[in-house]
Amino acid sequence: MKILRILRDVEENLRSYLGLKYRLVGVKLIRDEEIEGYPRLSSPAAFCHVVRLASTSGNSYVYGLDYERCPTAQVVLGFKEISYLKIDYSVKPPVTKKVLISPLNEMNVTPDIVLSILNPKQMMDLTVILKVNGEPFKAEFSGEHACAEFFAKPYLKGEPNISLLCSGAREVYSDFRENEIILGAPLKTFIQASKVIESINRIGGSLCGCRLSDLPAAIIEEFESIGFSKGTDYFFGKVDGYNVRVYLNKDMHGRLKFITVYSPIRLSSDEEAEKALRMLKPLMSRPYSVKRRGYWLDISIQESEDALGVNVLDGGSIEAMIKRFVEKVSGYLSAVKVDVG
Amino acid sequence: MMKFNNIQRYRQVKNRYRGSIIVHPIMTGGLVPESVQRILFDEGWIGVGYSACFDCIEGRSSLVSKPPISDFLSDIAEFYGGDRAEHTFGCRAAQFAVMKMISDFVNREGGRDYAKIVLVDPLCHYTTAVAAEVAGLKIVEPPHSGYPEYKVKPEDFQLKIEEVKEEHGKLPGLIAVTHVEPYYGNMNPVEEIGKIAEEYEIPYMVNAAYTAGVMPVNMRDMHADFLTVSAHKSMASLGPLGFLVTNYEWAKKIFSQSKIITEWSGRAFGKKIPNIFGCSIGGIPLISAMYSFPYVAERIKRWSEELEKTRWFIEEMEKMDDVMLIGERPHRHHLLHFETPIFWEISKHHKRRGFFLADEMIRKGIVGLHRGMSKHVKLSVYGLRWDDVKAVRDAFYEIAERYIKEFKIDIS
Repeated sequence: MKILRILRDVEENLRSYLGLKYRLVGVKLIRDEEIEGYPRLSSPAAFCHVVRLASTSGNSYVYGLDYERCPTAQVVLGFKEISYLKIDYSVKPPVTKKVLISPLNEMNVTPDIVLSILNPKQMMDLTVILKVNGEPFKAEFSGEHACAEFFAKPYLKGEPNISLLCSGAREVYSDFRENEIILGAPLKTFIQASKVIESINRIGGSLCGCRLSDLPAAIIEEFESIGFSKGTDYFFGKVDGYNVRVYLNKDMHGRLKFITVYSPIRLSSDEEAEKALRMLKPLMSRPYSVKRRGYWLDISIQESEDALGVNVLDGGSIEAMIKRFVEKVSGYLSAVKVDVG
Repeated sequence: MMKFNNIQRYRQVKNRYRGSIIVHPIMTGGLVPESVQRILFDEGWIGVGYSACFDCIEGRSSLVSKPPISDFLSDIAEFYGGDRAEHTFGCRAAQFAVMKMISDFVNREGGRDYAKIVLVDPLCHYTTAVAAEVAGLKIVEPPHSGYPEYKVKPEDFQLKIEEVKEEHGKLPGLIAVTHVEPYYGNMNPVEEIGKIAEEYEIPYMVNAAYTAGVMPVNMRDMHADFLTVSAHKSMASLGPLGFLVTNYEWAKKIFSQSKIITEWSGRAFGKKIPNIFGCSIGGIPLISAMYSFPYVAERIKRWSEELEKTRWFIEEMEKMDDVMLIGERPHRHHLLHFETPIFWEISKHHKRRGFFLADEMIRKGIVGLHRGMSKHVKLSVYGLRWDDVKAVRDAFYEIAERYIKEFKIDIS
């Protein structure tokens, strides 16, 4: 079943990435009387406590109003209304018959809300991921009515929220640890986080799974915008029939120092390359240079950004510089009658 | 409880690449000769996990005399120009042992002269970096020359040593250099760097994972204190197996034996070597390395023939549009890294994207290209018969020709 696979992937990705000891928990409100295949709760308990139980023990539970100990949760989950209880977020109208609380990857229905018990470090890591595709994560909590914060608000608004829990969850009805908080969110938020984790895990999938350079994404984008592609740690493209390679040189301390632009020219033999080299050398003046590698000639220019009139964060300036370079290379090669075709 | 659904499927696993031509650079030097495969089977070595341990008297596999593991390790040490060798759980474990020992050495006795810093070549294998990380050593690197040759200069190692000295008032605790680096197949100037290490009296490790066993390697010529070797990468052996070779001076430290006495039971493990996790491989990888050793000793004499084959293949590959070898030229190792913009161009049109190249090669019976990569190709034709080398070249030609035509790619 597709949903089962999705839930398992989410569980596995989130838990392995964040280092979660306990399970993610799915919560589903049931409006019909019956739901099959899940054990009933054996004695009354509070919603937050059952969430913790499901997370730590890996068991699933289904129960109704008669087994809900916490008056706040009775209202929040939509079992009933209590006129004197003022709660910012609760399920209305109160037509909930049962609630299913289960480890996420044991569910065979789509959960309304997914919960994760986290410590602050794990929450920090998750917040970074949740920010990737949108606005910074915003949370609303008051230290009261934890279930309204981690369940009802996400349920009603369709967006994630964090709860620092309440005294009921930490002292009265359950025994959440001091470093535990809960993130509640619709399944789609967790799926999105799971996909981000998968893509993070794929980064560096180059040669032997290692990253070969620390070129910033912004520079890569600029080169790609002018039709160049990133090789291992350099850029390659073809301009007017000439192969062009651009390498960003670092100094001894790893700071960007120079830009080197190359055009590798293949000749038919070492001897031909040597002959061309001898003819080209006297024609060239700094910063242009030519070097032989076997039957290859590298015509290159190496200068700082300023000297080249280039900003590596501006594709237009890179393109113009490469064009100037290619014109120069073409001129040199015509002068010595070397055909690159 | 864990659910065992359909575990029988594990018995259905097939070796998809049986009989294929292997061009993966981490595999070609490790291909086990058929005669060795046969004898391993015929002698019944594959029936027991720790098949070398029946006659273990002294409590460590490297001390076993039947089969002659102890003699074998002496021969390995001599073969690579060292005094003592221990076998390890791969080359990475050998590197770890060196880094761990250096870390301990700096902590205990060398703290006044040495910092917990290892100076490594800038294209070292990831296992070198990870070994340093595990051992708590900081990494410092000299630069390489960048595209297209990515070469390192010995004098840059000296500059870095001086820089470390100035900043920390101490020398790096170790210099670790990859004999041939795993990205472009460049042979680093290990002898020159060794002389610098000797002048400064800095312990010096050479990682010969890609060379020891395919070409002549002598750690004395390199002025190295430690040589780390991969048997499954370069000594025609089953994996995982590596060797750590050293001289008598450092052997005493790195192979020092366990001193721990457990607190309540009072047990002790005096023959075990903590830096190599007590006792290393006692099974079939070690036996396979012994059987392959005469073959390895013989094949390194034919290294020049292998180089000739490799260089011929480079020229043939570079006849394809825009394909160029990256790395030093003339090339001095079998690990080849080509930039292949033509295959990258094809991948943009192909429904399998970058995966098309490895897929097509597999269809032609050639395995070992990195799946998903088309901008660059890393491969090795080491040990292949000439017919197979030509078949590999033809496969690249045919794939390029077919798709240039099919996708009407302009190669002007």
